[in-house]
Amino acid sequence: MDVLTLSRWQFGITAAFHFIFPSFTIGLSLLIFIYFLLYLLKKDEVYRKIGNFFVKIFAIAFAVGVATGVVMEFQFGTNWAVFSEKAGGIFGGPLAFEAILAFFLESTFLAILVFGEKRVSPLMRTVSAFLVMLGTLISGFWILTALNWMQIPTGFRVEGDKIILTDFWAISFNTPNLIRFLHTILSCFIAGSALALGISAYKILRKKQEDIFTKAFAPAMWVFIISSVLQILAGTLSGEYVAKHQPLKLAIMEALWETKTSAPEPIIAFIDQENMTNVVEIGIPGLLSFLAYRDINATVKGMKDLIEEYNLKKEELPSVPLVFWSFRGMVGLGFLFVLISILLIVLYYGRKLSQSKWFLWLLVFTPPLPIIANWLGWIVTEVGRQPWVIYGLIKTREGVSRITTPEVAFTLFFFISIYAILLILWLFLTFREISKDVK
Amino acid sequence: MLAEIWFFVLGIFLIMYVILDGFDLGGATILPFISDKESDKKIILNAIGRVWDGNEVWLIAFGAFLFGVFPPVYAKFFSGAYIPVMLLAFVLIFRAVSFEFRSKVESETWKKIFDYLLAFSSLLIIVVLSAAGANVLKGLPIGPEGFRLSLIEALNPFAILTALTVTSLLILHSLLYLANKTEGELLNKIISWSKFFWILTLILVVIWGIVSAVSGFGIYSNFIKYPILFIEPILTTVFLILALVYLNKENFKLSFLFSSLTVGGSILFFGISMFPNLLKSSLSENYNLTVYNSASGELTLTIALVVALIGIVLVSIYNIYVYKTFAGKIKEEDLHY
Repeated sequence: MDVLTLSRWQFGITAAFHFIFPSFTIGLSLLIFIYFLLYLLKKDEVYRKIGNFFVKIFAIAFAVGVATGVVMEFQFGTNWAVFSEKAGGIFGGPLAFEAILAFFLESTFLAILVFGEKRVSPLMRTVSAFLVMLGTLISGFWILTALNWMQIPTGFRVEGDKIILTDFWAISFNTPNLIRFLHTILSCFIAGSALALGISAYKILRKKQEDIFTKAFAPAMWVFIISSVLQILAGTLSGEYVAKHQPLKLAIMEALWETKTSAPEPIIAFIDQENMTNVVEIGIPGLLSFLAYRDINATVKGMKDLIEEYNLKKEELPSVPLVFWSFRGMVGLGFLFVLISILLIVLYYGRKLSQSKWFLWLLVFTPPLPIIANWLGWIVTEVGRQPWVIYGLIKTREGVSRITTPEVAFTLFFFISIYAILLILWLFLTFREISKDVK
Repeated sequence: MLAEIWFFVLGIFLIMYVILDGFDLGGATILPFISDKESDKKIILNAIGRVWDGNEVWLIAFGAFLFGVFPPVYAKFFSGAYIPVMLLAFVLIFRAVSFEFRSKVESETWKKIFDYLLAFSSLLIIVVLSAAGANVLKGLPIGPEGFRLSLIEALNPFAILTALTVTSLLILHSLLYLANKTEGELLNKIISWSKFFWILTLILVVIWGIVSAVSGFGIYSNFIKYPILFIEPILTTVFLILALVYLNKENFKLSFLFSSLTVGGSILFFGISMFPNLLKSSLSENYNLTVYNSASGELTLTIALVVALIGIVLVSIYNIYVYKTFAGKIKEEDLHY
């Protein structure tokens, strides 16, 4: 394998591993804030204890998230030096804003949450929980701004070798970026609340401190339900912006080879990428045109026309089946979360939750699902953008550093080993915290 | 003008990083060796454990602003020194998780393992970063396509000497911080260790001064151009002496203040020596990466400066708040780890 392939694997594995942790911590930080707020409002000690219980689980995941996040920042420079040098004037800015506006906030007030119980007032602890949550959101916003710019580059001019920033508002507070932010944050809220629901369901099933975890259950349930429902809307809107700004990515996601008016939305397709055709395709007529342009008669461009337009070779296309099926997996999981939400409401208000053992067990095994959905969505976003690293501007293979294959092979091997160890330790310590009683 | 201001602002980030993370890196390095008692270790861990994460963010912020403001410097350095930079990434991972995992494991063996992992990774961070600083100061083999630096080349004698000096200084710095946080027998031990590391630091600083002067790396060229600048290293040495004076008077606050000034002064020396270069080429001056030929567009520099200044004000507020909240000696009720 060459430096390019190994570097892509290294970045992909790091990003996938890293993404587990912010997904959980962004969601958990919201719940921790809600628990401490309930403690303040209801003066009920139980909520304080629940908050402390989740702070411990949060802190372990946060530590691994920080450690792997730093590696991501390093890799832009180590493995993607040409990309970094050309685009750093735009891409580096949001990363820096993330560090100074979010990381300090999170780390400082997490220290107050973990160490400060005896030293600060309950009000200040609730404020700290709020600030930790705010920090995670600010962090998410800036990193997504950087990523979104790679998808929809705007606000720049090219001068010789360099990409120069010309409009800061255009790259940060634009509608596609805000929608992508909402879409990603909701997916993290789903992950964090699924984790809290799973833990609470487990405790209720095992009859350990049932009363406490029944109280922990309700806020997590509402975060899960509201986020899952809103996500359908945010996801649909995200899709519309892909259609508008990244027609090739849309065609890849939908395995659409030929340009079509009133294009169908394929549910399943057997894709023959070599011959640029789908052997079998079952779809809903006109739905793709409608989803992309809110008009069932709209024309959707196919890959064949688009690669000509962009002057690409067909070998440069990413794996179409990978993007196609990842997209369907993500959407399927999104609808599954809505189904779970409906069941939650029915059983919770029918007061049948504690008897419905099968459903509680289902909740226990739910937490990995949002992570899988996030991975799939991220594959659609990043693999779907190929062959470019910045859509339409710089190809991925042009961005790689002048380093050697053995160097990257060596570090890739090390990263995989370290992540494997971290994963085991994280799971072990998290399960142990879960098994402890709330004190 | 803006690019020059940015050199200065990045200098502030680096100074803040080395002063703040310096004491928790040093503290973690001596952790397994200063005491066998679990209670002493707990006090040390708690003294540094509540602030290390925020302190490390200064390094992350430094790196990220370097990326945005001087992209070629970030890109050429990180890819050029691929293996040394990745080594730093690995030890940063180990350290970050060791702090958290150490507090969660229960068996004695695991605690010991994490103590050593913490100490070893902290020491390596000091060594890698100060060796990087030494190589930057000395000049890198930068050509038109950048440069390549292996781990062996990075660990040249000048880099090793610098690493030893910085390690000794930061251990001293951390001991003076811990003197503010401890009492009784542990405090006495910390005081006697401080005195040992003070002498070691002074010896290494003197050797470093001589070696850097005769090395021919051009470290003092800015100073020779403007001799008034020699006040800076002289003042830094005076601060080091004052740190001992106040240690002997058992005024640990002032002693720590002066060790902080010594550490900050050392980074300022580095900045004065480098300006206006960010990376010096040992092959030809034409390949130097300076604030003028590496800066991003004006809009990036302006916006980043506004955000950085707002950020620094906010971070100062958080820091004052958190250090006030946790001021004073560590008490039993504070123990978390």
